[in-house]
Amino acid sequence: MKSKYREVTPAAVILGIFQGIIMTAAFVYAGLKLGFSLGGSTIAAIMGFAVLKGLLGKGSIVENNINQTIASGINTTGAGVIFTLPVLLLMGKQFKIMPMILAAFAGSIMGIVVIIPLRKQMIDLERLRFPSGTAVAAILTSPGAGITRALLLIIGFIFSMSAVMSIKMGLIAKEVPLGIWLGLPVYTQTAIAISLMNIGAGLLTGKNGLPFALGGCLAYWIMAPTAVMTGWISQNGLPATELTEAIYMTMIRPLGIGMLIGGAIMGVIKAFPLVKAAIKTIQNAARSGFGGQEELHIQYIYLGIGVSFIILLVSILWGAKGISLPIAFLLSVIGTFWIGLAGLIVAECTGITDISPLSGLALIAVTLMLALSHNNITASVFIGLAVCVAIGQCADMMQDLKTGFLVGGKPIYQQIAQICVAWIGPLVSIGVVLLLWKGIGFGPGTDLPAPQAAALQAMIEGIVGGKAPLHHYLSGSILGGLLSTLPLGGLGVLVGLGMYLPFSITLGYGLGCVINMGIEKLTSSRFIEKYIVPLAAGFIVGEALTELIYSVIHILGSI
Amino acid sequence: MNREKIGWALFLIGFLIACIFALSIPGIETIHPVNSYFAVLLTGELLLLFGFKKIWAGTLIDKLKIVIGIILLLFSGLKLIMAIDSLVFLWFFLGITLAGMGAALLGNAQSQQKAERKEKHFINPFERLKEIIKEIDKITLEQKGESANKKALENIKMNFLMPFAENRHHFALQYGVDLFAEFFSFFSTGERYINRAWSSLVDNAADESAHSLSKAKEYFERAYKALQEEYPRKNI
Repeated sequence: MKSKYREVTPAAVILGIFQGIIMTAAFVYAGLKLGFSLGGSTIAAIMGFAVLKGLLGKGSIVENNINQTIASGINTTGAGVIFTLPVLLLMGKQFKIMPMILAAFAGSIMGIVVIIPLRKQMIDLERLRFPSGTAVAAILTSPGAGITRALLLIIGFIFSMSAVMSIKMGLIAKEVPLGIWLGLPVYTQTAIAISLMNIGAGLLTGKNGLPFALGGCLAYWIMAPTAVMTGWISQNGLPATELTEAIYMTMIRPLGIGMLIGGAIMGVIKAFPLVKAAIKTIQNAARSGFGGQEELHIQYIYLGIGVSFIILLVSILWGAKGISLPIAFLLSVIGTFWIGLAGLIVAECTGITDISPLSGLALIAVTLMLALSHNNITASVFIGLAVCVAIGQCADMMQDLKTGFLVGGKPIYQQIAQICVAWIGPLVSIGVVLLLWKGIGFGPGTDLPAPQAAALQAMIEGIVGGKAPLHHYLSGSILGGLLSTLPLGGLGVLVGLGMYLPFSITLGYGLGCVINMGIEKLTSSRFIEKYIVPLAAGFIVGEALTELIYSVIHILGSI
Repeated sequence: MNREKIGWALFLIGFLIACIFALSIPGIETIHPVNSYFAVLLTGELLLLFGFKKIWAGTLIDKLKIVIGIILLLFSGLKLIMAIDSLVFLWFFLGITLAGMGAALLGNAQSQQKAERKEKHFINPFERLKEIIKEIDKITLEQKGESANKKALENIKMNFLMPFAENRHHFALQYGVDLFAEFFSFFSTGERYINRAWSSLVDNAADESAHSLSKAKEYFERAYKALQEEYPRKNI
């Protein structure tokens, strides 16, 4: 008798929700303590194997894909919440909890639905790599992928794990200090981060990721020395590290953020015909009924955007004091547009480099909202929260859909699954943050310093005090837009991202790209697919899991 | 020196100048009184950019755009110099203008190259799609067992689907964005079904694997048909 192939099953959904909730709670705590968030897809995929296949004995690859889609869809909201919500608590602002949850929920839904129409363009047509999505697919397919691939995955995992453990134990340095060896000034920040995850992402991307590394070279080898030599940045006996920080924070980072935005806007204009054509194919497929429904119908996407817009509007009116209906409407409209644009930027960045510029995009959202709401911090953070959660969802949905493509999952199942659980993440992460605030408290000087929120708080205070580097955002966006007019895809976004991140990360990634190009030249693209992809996937998974285990040990040790 | 090299040189020089002077652009408050000139300057640059693209084969309107662009640029540029006390702005916009002209030249040179490449290097997707369909038929008909089928699917992925997907930019060039999006969407869905056939085979779900294979074949045939409807003559 023909049995149905297991894909969306109660076991996958329950396991995904369970893992998602546990990971959200744990990662929110870890994020407030350590200042960075972790991705949940890899751990969910590995646990999926153990439970669905091992314990229940009947799991399938695509069923496990649904499990990891749900788990990471829930867990991804935590990063946005810990970056924004604690700011209101740290600043002593009064706000209602329910509207805050609604704003996060609106962002969660909007992030998923705005990015769905781009699946065809980015995954089917442009074939962006999405390194984490590819790595998760390598895990899911590892049992049937043959001994060589499995071995390479394990070797990559062990190498990456060893590197992280060696750094944690102080056996090796965090970075290779190339600049010091070459006698370069400290402000050039010339070092390569010892992160095999980073190199692995470059290895998966190859020559398409090279502009990202070039952006870093431009920023730190040309622009930073010029700023110092011309005296545009005042040295005034500043120690080298402070000078470096000053160049990065006041010049290069805001220019990089501006470039990201300008590059993305021009990219949208240039890619518009392809996006339009891709959406048309979704509509045609739905109309003709050929092959059944593969993708969420475009009408549901419009409905999702409309509903989440209304929820966002209600949350601002209800939750922020002193905001009139027209201003709340304006904030919601601009917020929705920004989520669309930021989602596109993030999807492109993660598609090529695996890195999501969450803080920069959230900062722009908050800056915009502060300007529109006459410095109403609560309303601005509400929108900032929605934007951050949405960005996380955009990146996660696209990574999951890439995994789905590689293992043969149906996109519509993944899309519906992620939409259905979109409310869980905001609820759990906001609940955990409030619980911790009321229980043990957090902020600078405590056991939970909440470094990301503290940084955003400092930025908000700077913006309210009239110190927003708008001129750099503006000139950066002109430069980014100009770069994106060139006939090479996504140049403005990639160069901007390269400027926005610390140089050691950019260089490490660039090294991976160069190695990929060298290997491809010596062998073939098939060799890359067969041997390099599993090895690089092992690098990514190894570092992610080791960092996770280390965080758990670190937190348990300090309780 | 050809147009492409001049374009690159102009772009790189202009972009570097603009990047460097962007570092020390004064705060927004100093721009505020002159932002109307700023807007006019941008309009001039945009007009110049769009007009410049077609300078060699442009219509009268394109040439008019260039003239208006140059007038606006001169007017607003001079006004800006007079209104602001920082030469940094001037250098920044000089860089942007040079880079913009370089980008326009590059765009022009590349579209000409694309047109030449389109004529010279026609890649025939019909034959390749036929080969893929034939390979799927082989698996369906020969029924060699799961292990052999898995190898055959891996062979299709590595030796047929991957090389086909690598040519996607050529296809977009050959057939235009709309037709490319249509037929390549079908191709990608077919590829996803091949992946599903492989996954289900690994999961010992032979029925699903066979079903996915037939779906994959349907989609590749559909891709073939979409192309054939538009380009029947090239179906050689």
